[in-house]
Amino acid sequence: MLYQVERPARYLGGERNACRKEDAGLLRVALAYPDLYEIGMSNLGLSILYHLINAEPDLSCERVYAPALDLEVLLRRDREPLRTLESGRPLGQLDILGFSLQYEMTYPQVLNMLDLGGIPLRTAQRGPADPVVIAGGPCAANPEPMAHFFDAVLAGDGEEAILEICRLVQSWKREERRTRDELLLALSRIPGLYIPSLYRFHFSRDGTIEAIEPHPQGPMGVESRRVKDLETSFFPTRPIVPTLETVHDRAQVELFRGCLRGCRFCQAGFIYRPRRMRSAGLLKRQAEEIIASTGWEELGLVSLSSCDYPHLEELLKSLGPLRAEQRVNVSLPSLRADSFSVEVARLAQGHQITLTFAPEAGSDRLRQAIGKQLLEEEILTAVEQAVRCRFPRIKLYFMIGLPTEREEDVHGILALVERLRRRAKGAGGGVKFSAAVSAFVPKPQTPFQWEPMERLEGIRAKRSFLRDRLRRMGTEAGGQQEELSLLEGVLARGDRRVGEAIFFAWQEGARLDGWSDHFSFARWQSALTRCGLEPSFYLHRTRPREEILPWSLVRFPAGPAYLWRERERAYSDPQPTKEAKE
Amino acid sequence: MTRWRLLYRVGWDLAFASHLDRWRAISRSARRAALPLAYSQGFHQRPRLAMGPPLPVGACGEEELADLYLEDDSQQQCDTVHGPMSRAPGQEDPSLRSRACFGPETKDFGLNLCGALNNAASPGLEVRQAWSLPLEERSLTACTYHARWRMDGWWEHTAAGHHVDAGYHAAAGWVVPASEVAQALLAAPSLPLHRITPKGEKDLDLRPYLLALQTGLESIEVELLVTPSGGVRWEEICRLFQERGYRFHLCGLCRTSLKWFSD
Ligand code: SF4
Repeated sequence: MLYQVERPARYLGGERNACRKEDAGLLRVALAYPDLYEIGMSNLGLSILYHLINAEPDLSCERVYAPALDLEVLLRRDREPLRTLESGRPLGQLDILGFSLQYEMTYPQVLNMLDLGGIPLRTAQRGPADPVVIAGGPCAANPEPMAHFFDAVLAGDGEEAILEICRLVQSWKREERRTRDELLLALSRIPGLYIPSLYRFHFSRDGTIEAIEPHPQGPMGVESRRVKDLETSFFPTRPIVPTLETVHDRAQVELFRGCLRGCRFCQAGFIYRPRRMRSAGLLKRQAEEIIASTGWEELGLVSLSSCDYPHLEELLKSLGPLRAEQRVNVSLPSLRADSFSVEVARLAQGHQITLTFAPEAGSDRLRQAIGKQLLEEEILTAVEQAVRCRFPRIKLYFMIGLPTEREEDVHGILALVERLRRRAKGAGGGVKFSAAVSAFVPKPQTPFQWEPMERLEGIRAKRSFLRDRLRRMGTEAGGQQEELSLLEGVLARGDRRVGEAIFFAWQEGARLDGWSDHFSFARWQSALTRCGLEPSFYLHRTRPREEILPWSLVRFPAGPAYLWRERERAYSDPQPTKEAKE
Repeated sequence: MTRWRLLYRVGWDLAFASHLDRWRAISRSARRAALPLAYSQGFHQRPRLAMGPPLPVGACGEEELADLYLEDDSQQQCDTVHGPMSRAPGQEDPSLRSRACFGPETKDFGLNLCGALNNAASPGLEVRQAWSLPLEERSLTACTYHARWRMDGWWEHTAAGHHVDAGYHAAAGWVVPASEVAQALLAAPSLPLHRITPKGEKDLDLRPYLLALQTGLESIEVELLVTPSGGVRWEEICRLFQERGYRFHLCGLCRTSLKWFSD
């Protein structure tokens, strides 16, 4: 089979630092990523949990990634199950299968992997011998669209909870007369673990949620988990070195988790609160150990907004010997224009060719309204410095359809790009600009969770206008396809009825839909129609404050009252707060 | 700077990696081994590591070649990292997995280089020998090679429309499948082939590249000429058989030896 598929190394495992435990009696866990190996192997969260579980002598953790279409065809033709990379075990023979959900568009691939692995798709169909199917990651902010398919969904950080889950499943497996319902009830006592099957949702005629009825012995919702002290929490210093090149083929250290900025559209900024940091000394030690054990040529200093790390310059200086003697390039993946300095640029220049900034909107007013505390002058200065540091490419991210957006804000994007080009030219030129313009998708657990999303025609008109003008200005213009954004909007704020549409779309062939060349909007439209669902119900109405939201049972540190206040401020008081309150 | 030729094995764990992936695997092994690597100049500094003729995706290799460049003071630095080099003959570190090395004056260092690399190697990579050679010697890409291949799999007699059952053949004392085709191919004055690649199409004659060819009940063994401008692919050998009524279904592929000629 391997000779008939593209990039077979995706499916083989056997990489440096991969763990392979073969002893009998181990609890068999696999972490699944519903996208290709090249994408999944770059995920830091999965790497942390993989090594954390494997550090326990009686637990074994393996990996599985989504097969590309060519392998799927062969697996189905030969009736071969999808297997883990380490031991080649069919997924159905595992004890726990944990999915990482980074992006809503991967939902159909979750179903596909379950199906290929020989696991009943729905939690109600699974018996005591089937694996416990759990999920975590940013999409846990609203677990409801996948409620029928997951036994449990973990909200928040996984480092502590994953071992508690493993231990509980382990002891349940030892019991004689065990039932799955008992297990689910027991799992619901683990803080942060949401068990969708323990709740009944009642819908009213207008489609909104009338009431949520919890299981008599179950909790009423969950509080997300949070690792208190990153300094003492587990971090792998012998990560797996992939055989084939992955999207981020580099060592990674995590500077901090969470973000203080509080941009009102940013889900990550709200669900990973509060900000927790690692010390520069610890990061330096971790970086040295990782480079020694992997041989990687690049080190990513990752976090939601790396320039906001208060000890960044100290850290970069302390990494000097690693950079000079071992020729390690240091990269800073998430830069903010207002804290970008020449020193940072010079120190971190390393391997980076493209520098990315996200002005998000075309005017200071709109940026303030969405909580992006970034002034035009700061963007201009940052770009000027980047040009002086000879970065050959600068990529800019913009959103359209943001709450309170006016026509002049859209035109403002063009004006800003023009001013940036002029400033760049004045600083010596030689830089190529590109801009990604995508539709704003309101996300759960943010102040904009009640907001309507712009309609297809509006997004299309604005995008094509901007792309056309930008190209005429000599700026490459891209961004997410309009229909893809709309669908992301339905899946992000959907309820459990949307799960049926995901199921039908998967049946009709939806797979790696986050990749626009695999995406078919028509397939999704027909799946939604088949379930009697109207996309505009999820997308285009302003939800009243008192409406019960599908994700209301999953509570993150920024509660609904705070989020609503922040939403109100977007309309009434666009004045930016320098640091958002925790 | 010193130049070290590595003779290495590519096992199953690296068989399905690409040529570039294998370059990365060796260079990262060398970095993990903390060898005093020489680096290229410029914006992206990379270890100076030159690979021999590419091994296709899906193939193991028994005697693959690469040239690794180390800094001048490599011997001294390696002493520090990996213990003293000078050992009396017969006192080699048993933990080192290398089999042998060449060059009397560099014997110990070559051996230690193998050991250091193997201790830090990616799974599927085993450095068998390492020896020094002059910097000015011809590069690996400029050499000509004789490459021996072994392909394992099963035959299908497409003309007769049935699988060739190896066990049945052997019991019946029949001739090895497709052996008459192999002989005919070797006897042919030319073997024209139309090659289609993503880069374009061209007509070429395979015959000059075909040095030896033998079929087994479940295998093909072939020796091919590889020149600096290219060679023949294993799929093309299979195609020659297929065009003559025998389809070979590949299950395993190995380049068993690679002999190079500098002139
Ligand atoms: S800076 Fe804003 S957009 Fe970036 S991670 Fe923080 S909150 Fe999110």
